[in-house]
Amino acid sequence: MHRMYNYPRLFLSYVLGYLLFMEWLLPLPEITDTGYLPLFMGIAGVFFLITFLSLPWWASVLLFTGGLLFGLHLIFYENTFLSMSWWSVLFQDVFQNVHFLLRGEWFHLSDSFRSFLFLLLLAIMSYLLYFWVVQARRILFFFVFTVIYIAVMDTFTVYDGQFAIMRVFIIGFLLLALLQWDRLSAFFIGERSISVWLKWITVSLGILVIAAGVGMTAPKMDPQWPDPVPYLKTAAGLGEGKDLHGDSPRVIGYGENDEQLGGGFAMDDTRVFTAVGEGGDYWRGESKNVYTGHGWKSNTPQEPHHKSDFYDESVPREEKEIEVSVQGNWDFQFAFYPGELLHLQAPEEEVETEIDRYSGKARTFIDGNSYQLRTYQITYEDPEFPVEKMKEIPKKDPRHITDHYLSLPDELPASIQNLAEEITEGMDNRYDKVRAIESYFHGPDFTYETQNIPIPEEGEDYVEQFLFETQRGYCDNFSTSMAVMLRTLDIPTRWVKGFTSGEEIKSQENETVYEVTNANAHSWVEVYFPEVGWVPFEPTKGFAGSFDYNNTNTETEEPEEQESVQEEEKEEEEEESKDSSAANSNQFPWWPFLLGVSLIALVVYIFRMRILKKLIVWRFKHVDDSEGYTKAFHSLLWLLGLAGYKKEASETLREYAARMDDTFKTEDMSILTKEYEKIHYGNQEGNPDKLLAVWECMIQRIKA
Amino acid sequence: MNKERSALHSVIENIESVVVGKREEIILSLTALLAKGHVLIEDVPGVGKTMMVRAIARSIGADFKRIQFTPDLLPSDITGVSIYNQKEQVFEFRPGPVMGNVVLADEINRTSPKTQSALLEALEEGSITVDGETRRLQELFFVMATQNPIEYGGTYPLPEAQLDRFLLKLNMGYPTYEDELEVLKRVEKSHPIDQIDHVLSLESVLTMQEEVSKVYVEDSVKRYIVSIVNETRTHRDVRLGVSPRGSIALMKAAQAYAFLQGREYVIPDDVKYLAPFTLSHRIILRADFPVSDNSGRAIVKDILSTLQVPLTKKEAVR
Repeated sequence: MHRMYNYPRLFLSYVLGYLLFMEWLLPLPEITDTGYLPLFMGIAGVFFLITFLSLPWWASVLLFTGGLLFGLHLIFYENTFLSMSWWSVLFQDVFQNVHFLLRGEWFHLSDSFRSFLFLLLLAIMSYLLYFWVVQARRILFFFVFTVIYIAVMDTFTVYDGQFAIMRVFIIGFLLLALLQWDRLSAFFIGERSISVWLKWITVSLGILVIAAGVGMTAPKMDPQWPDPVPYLKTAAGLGEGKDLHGDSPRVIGYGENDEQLGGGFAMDDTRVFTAVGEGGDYWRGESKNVYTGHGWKSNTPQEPHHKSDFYDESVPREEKEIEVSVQGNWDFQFAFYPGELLHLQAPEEEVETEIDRYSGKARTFIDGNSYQLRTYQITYEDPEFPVEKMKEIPKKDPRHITDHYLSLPDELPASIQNLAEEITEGMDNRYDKVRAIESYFHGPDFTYETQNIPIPEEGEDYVEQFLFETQRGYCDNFSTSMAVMLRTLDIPTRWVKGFTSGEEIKSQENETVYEVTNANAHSWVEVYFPEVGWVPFEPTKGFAGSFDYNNTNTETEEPEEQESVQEEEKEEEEEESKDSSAANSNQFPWWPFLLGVSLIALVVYIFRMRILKKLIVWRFKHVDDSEGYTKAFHSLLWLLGLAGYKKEASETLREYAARMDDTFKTEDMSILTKEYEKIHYGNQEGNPDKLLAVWECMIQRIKA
Repeated sequence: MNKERSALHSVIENIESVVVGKREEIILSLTALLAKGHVLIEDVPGVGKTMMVRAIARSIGADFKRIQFTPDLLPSDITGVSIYNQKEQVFEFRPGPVMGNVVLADEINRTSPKTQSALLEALEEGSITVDGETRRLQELFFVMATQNPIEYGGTYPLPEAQLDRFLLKLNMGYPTYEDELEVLKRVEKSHPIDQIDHVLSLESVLTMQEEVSKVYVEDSVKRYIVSIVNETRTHRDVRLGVSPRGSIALMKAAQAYAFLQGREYVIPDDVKYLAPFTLSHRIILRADFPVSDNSGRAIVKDILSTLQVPLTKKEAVR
């Protein structure tokens, strides 16, 4: 069927297609480490133009290659474009990356090579859109996918798709209207005048503008479903969160004032500090002891100490070292440390450290003035808590503990204590009770979520609200609730804030590099056990904690077994760390890669008929005997079937051929069928070489 | 082949100049002629059955005989009778109409079964026995029998075994408005049957009959035939299916039809086209099936619409 092309109109459609495609690129800088976006968009534009010109294939390939190389050049290479040294750098790069590719080391692919693949993708997309807009004149599929894409980006990433979705809406529908015109006008040859077209477009635009205007101004309902992101993140164990600043919604991070907890917050991946050494433990900032009904504050006397004093002498521990460098403009006048802080060393020799005996806050001074450290080295002890000992029937807590760590507000609802007693019913020791409460929070009733978390009103209790009303929340909700519930059982607790161990970004033998971001801010609970000390627990759902508990009875078991158990534990730990490092490899921008693969698959799918046609024609190009002709004819039947023209089982070849000829307005199929009949039913030698051209014509005619 | 084909083509044209708008029936009749079979035409009187047979006979220069079946017709009226010649004092055989080349047996179901079977024996055996003496019929022997639709009164329906002897069963049907108008125009002055002449000799028809049996039938086509016939035996509305004689008839007819189309081999289309004409009168329906003239044909068509057509040797049915 001959198609009339109106190039200016098609160009308009194609430009709209390009704009629609650009909406796919716009979110990239925000969710990946893609830079140079305008450049990529420009190159994509050039690619689109090249495709539109419909040059001979070799010219297109040449231009595409040129555009691709020049794009790479602009981004990465400093040598003169196309000079000898330039080429050598390029080839070196390509060689190295192909090597990585073959070995599956995606992580090592250089930026330039990834950009190269990306540009290749853009070139393919230009052709794909050309096919959709100019050849097939159908864009709904791509349009719908663009909307879904923007919606997903908006929901699951930091990208704000509000205006993107409006742009997509207008561009997409306008494009639909344009293409619909093109398709319709094929039926009304006489009605192709420009004025009708203008009317069509004006009406479409009018409707679009009105619809968009109504859509924007109309009142909208709040989301009816809770945000799925926190749930997904919790399910994947990725969620982190702490909210310590003023009003909702806030940005997660570490703050000083915790008197008013609650409210949602946004994740913030700003780096706070990096640590190099043996790590993997939670970073303790300080603890607080007074629950106010809305938050925490501290009323313990300030008793500076030279080292933290959390654990009893008898608790086994391992000495470790780690080096911390605080990032940018963070203003902490104290140090974060894991475990029990033994010693802090800073480049500034005159720095003094004072560790508060009660809160564990490690303040740093120079000449009596608070001083903010940039880098420091910590020697700390990583304890292993003896579970058996903690399970022993409680001895009396010392006075200084009961004085400070059992207080509760007078107006605390009794329901909290009732719940705590219900959960711990029948348990006779403190450890079991603590574990019971801790696992209660990991149960199915509770959901980890960082958004739409209410702030308790005046007269409402923060813990009660979480336990009995919302059951949704983040670390503050969980840790505060656990601490308060245990206190109702007369178990001394305190509320600890700090950071989780952070993200492991590099690992070598004994040294691991951790990156701790604002999103790693966290809070947990420490419970006092006589003759053991302050033992940390992790009630927050989705978090595993980094604390070592030794469940073996050290006194009764034989040393050898103990060792083997320890080894096993070590192995487990190693596995765990491997797992976590695997999770951390999420750093690699998987999704553009997957997007690329699926786009290529999509392209192959869309052009499958063309690809198959080419393959089949190529395969039977030199057919000159009856057997080959039979095969070629069968391929034709198969291809027709694939294109939706299946031969009915009860249909004879002739009937089918007549049907096909009717469909494709030709007689070729009958001609081919007669030859096939002659060979097959007539047991005669045919003259297939004469018919090969007819056969190829028929193959080319097939359209899905 | 081409020469024969053009000769056959002129036969068809010849007949068409007499019978208007019945090309399909003409071709089917010629198919039966070439396959050495006979045709049963079931239709009301006056739709041109006789004209068609006469035109065929004239076109091939054959001796045409007509038997009008009546209730009082005797077997000897068909076969002929020996009469005593007093002068020479011997019995002299006077051949009946069945000794012709092309015989029209009109209203075959009007006569008694005894007389019917006299004709049907001739159809199958190619010979007749009169006064204990077996006489061979003409080498080219082609019968077109007509019967009135079974709803008509005063008819003796043909038994199944005898229906089986006809290669094809056709329906003429009334002509269309335009065709009938054309008929009137042609017969206005003189009847066209008197103006046609033979365009093919009897000998060449006999040669063609020989050649028809050489038309190649590929295995998958044979399988297709057998599958169709088998299906009639298991069809839920059929009491008695098609006999192997029916399979043979279908194949022979297909060969002749392919020959008429100028092909040296049979294709499934031939079989598919001929099956309703060849098989429908060989099927006996269940008693509870609503009987009409076309019910057998409907069942065959039903089978054809679901049965797989063999595509290659490997893909063929069964």
